[in-house]
Amino acid sequence: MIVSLSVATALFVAFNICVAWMARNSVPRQLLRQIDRTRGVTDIAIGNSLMFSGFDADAYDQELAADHVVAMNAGLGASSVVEHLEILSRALERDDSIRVAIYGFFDFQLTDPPVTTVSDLFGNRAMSYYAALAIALQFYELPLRDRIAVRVLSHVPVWVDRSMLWAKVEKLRRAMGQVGMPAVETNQFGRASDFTLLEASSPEEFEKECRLAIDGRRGLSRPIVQLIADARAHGARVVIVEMPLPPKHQQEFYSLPAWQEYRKYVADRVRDSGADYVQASDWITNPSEFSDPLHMTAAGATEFSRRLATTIHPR
Amino acid sequence: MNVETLIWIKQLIDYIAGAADEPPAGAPSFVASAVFVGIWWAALLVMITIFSGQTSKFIYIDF
Repeated sequence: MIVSLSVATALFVAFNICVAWMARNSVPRQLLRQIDRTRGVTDIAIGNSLMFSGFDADAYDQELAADHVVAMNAGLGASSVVEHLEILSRALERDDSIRVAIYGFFDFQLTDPPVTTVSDLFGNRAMSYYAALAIALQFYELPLRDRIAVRVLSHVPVWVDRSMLWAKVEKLRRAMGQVGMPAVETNQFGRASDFTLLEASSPEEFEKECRLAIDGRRGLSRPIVQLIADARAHGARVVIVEMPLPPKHQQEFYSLPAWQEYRKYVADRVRDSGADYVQASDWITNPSEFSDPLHMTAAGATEFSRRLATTIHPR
Repeated sequence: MNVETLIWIKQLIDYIAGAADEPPAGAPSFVASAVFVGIWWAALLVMITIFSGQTSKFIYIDF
């Protein structure tokens, strides 16, 4: 029994080492390394995959060539406001040249409370385990049992980076499911049609969310308040951007009177916190400049970034 | 492959998986060794890690 347990433990430890090695170049680690070695950035863009795919730093820089602006896209797909706070904190700590923090959001991202469970912290959100665990524990609304689990599991690579394995299995599963079937549209993030699952199920449901936030006097979520405060404390201006979304999302959800009311409500909260609010959700009107129900194509990103540059730095 | 072979394989799997106390006659001797049991347990842990816990709403895949 002791021999069997020892062998199993030794092999499992070896497996952990393999997973840690496999995950050494995961997307969040690449981003953290980029932040650590880059100096002289003046404008940093933060957010989830909408910002990651939608912000073209080169186009932004070119538009402001005379102003000596250096932009960096620090967007991270499938991440939440707490990871965004961790990313900005790290960037501000390492680079004191940052003058503008651009934060992109969609739907209710600014006011949704950061409620989570230990099992939600996988994929890019697992960054919380190794980037800034203290920030994660301070700002995530975690049950006590999960707080303990997060602390313990942060030392187990097989847990922290299990998405490295899961993504491979999922890709294999999808490839097998495609055998003999018509090809489905995909992009770098996955199956294009899957992203409708991240939208509200109906305009009524969306309207209900708007009302919950307004009638409940829900403020900006704590990580967002902290993100704005941190940037301002470092002398940086914060620009909160309502990210461009396809015309279908505009018509179905953002045209609702409840969203107009929510937008005004949340923009007021943003300005009260000392940040600027840019409504860019309707800047891209051509559906072909979106690769799925949420994300812009490279052409859409270029157009958006140029306009954003001149909006943030008017001549 | 005849029926006896299938039954033998079933009995071997029953033993490896813990449903039977003794391996079937003719089973390789290593299946009863402590080292093999340790390897088997580790393999099960790895399989569980790889395949369990994924949700049906696995949308974003660029990790």
